[in-house]
Amino acid sequence: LEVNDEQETTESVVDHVFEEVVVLTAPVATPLYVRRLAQVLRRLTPAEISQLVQLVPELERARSPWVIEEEREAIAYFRRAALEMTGGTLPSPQDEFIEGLTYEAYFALPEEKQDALWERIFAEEETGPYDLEEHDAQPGARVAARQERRSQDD
Amino acid sequence: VWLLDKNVVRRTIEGIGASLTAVPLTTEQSLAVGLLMRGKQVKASLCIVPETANILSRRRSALAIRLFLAEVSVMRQGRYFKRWARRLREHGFAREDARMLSYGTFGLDPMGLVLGASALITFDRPFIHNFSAHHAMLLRRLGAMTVQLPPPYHDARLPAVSTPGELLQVLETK
Repeated sequence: LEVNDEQETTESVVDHVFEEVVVLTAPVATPLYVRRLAQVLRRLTPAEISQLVQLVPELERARSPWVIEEEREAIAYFRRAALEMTGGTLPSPQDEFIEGLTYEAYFALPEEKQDALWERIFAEEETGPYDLEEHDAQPGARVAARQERRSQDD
Repeated sequence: VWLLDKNVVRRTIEGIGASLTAVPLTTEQSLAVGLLMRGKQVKASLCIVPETANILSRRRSALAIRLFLAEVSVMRQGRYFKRWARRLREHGFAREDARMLSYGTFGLDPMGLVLGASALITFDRPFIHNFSAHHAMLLRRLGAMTVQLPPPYHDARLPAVSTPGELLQVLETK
């Protein structure tokens, strides 16, 4: 990666992306690691930024004004649902989240350890109360997908 | 009907857990819980496959998993599910990808009234690329298979396969 502080074009592209993100997240202080990441990204060329967006397409969406609002709605919804389900108590970070790990311990794990934990979970026996046999559709059942009809002539 | 693959399931459960304890959500967690909320708004039926449901059902003591399971339905295998999964395997799809695509095509909702899914949601980009690369061939193969089947299987369609971000983007621009 070539570092060139004079790359106005690159900086303006990156600035554009991050200014919008910063505006959207204004009420929350920008964490140090995000500011450090921004410093690195400011050094990328537009072509490299484009490659980055291809690798992380969510970056494009992160500019969308809907993202933060949707997340806020979801957080509020699940906190309400949890209060209803538990009779009025939200879990504390020291309560168990999954596989004997507390919320605090799980979210402190490095990504690769979280990955390994979920790989173990999903590698388990798949049988259980939900059967894995084929069933017939009810009379009059409809098809969900509205994709183009497949062509016999293709 | 939106069918969630296991990675979307994982990110949604993590996102719920983070929401409950005020941990900042990662981009994928945010997209996953955002998708679930959007699905509720547009009255989409959010589904998981029975294999995932069986694994999660052993962990119902976990609050985040109970909250997640309360929001989704569990698909069942419809007639011809296994045959289509075998054909997909012949075309180079991994076992799990073939089964997910087969649920998206010949899966049934719990009441047996809806066949397949309109969208299969995944964060797995290689799977999406593989599906796109083989799409025309899959359409032909599905057509050849379903032409002799009775309804509703005769009209079975491939689901769209996309990331949560792509689906949300489409919904927002509509």
